[in-house]
Amino acid sequence: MRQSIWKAAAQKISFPSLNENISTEIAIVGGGITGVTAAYLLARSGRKVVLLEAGTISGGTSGDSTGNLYAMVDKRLHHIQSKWGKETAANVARSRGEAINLVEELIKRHQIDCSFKRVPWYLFSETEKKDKTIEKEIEAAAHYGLPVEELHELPLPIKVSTAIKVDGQAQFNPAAFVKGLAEKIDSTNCRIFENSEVYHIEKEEELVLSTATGTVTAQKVILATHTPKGIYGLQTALYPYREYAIAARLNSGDFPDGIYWDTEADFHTSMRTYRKGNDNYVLVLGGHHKVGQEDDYSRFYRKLEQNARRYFDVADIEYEWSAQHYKPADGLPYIGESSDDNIYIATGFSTDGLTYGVLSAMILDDQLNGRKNSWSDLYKASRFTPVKSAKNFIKENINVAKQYLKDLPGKAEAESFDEIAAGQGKVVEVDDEKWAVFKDENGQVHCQSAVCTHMDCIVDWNDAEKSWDCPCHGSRFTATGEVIEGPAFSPLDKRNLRSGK
Amino acid sequence: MVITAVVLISIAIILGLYLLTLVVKKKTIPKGVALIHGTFAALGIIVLLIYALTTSSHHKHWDSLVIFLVAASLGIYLFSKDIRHLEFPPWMAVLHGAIGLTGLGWILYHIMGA
Repeated sequence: MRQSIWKAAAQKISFPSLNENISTEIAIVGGGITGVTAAYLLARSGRKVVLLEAGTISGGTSGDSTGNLYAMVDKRLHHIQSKWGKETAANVARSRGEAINLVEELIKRHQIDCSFKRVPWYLFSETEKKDKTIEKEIEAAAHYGLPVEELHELPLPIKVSTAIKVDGQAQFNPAAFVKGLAEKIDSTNCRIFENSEVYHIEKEEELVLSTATGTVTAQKVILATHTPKGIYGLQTALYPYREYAIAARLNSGDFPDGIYWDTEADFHTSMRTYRKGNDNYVLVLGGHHKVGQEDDYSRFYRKLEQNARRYFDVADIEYEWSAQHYKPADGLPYIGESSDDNIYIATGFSTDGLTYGVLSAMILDDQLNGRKNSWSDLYKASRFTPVKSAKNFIKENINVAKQYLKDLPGKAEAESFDEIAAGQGKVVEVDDEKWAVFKDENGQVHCQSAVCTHMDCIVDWNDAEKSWDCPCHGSRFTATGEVIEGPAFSPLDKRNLRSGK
Repeated sequence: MVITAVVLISIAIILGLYLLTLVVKKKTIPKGVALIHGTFAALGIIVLLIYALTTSSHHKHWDSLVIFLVAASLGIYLFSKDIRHLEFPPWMAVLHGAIGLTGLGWILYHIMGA
């Protein structure tokens, strides 16, 4: 099933769509963990809030994540330390630890049924090649007061060279948490609207957010949309990647809960266990790649399945899903007021988004209530870090420039529509213009411009997700051109088949 | 070195003329072509600048450099508008092209006359 195990296991809730013009103090765009936690905290502080979600609550990346909460970071704490110094890395670990504590507190206070439990986090190397990485992380974690232990075997059937174990991290069902929390938000202060996609923000004295059937006028806006919607200079410092996950139901084997990260560089696999009903599952995640820059996206699922079957007695692969994340240029997320006055952002979480999402909500709640927050300067959205950002900034923006060359005249994936198989899409050149052409299972052809409506890159067909993905800044569109996620506000421009080939 | 600069700028101008036809026809501008156009123009200006700073000849082409820099500034402005989907009047693109062509004509006039 092409759906995350979290979304399948979470409770069903629903909110109305926006069908009126309303005013509020704070509008939040995005109903994932960042938006919902921010709405909860702000409403609790007595602020008037409206939350607009394009689809359903937790229907986006939060519900497609790993469900892991940890103080460590994807890039490793010792990398943060080498770039930013010991104090900053310690603050990253501390701030993330506080976010996990808040999640636990909210779950306990509101009795949210989301399978939350404290578990250990492991980082392991299968060969001696990566032992140095483990050693550095042990040193870093110990320095930050984390309960760290060195191991040479795991409670999983995987042979390891060295491993690090850090106790007191956590796992939960993120979709169930976000939905559960959304139901507990103080409804006198906060209104939630689903299926209310914001397609424009008018930046006047106040901010006016337009959906197809209504508007919200707000003094402040939080873009809890991963990357901010629209065009921001910050997007040159945010790099979109995708990662894949499978949930393998096991025939046998009942392994202890934990977050298991492999240091294997070429696939970067992480694993975790999960119990649903009487079934034991192992979740295997990996296959990290730049958005819109692959030829065969389905191969990532195949490789994850191979990995799962290599170690475990797999009955079947019950769920497959993928999610997007944005790597920041200097290694830390951008949280706070953007270059546009009164518009707040929370982005650049890399693959550590659940913990950073909650942390963002804590920071934004304090900022919007005029309270001091210990971490707001650390993650300041408007910071300028040219030296720390230079390497990634140059590498990634050269990559973006290369993607723009895909729109050179004469370059296309297919000469005619006949070359497109049913259920597939290809970029075709028609009348000196690139078209994104999708042929559905009935053979009906759907044509739209292949020019991304964010910043004009040429989109790429993703065969695994049946979507058009922009390789420059990560906007994604359905096979028929509607916005799924990313910075683009508008769908791909429709094209008339009559002038097609 | 001046000849190298002229060749680079000429390529930029040919690509620029192609882009100008698209602007006039109100078609989407391929950003790849725009980037190559800008890259050739920038390289041409850099080569011309190096020539001006290092040559011992009497005419250092500072006048042409100034013309090209004015054209480049307008080009950067147009690109920044286009990439953000903000409208600009087509005459501005025509003016950008005209200034670039004037610069090329001016430098050729001096080379031929030398």
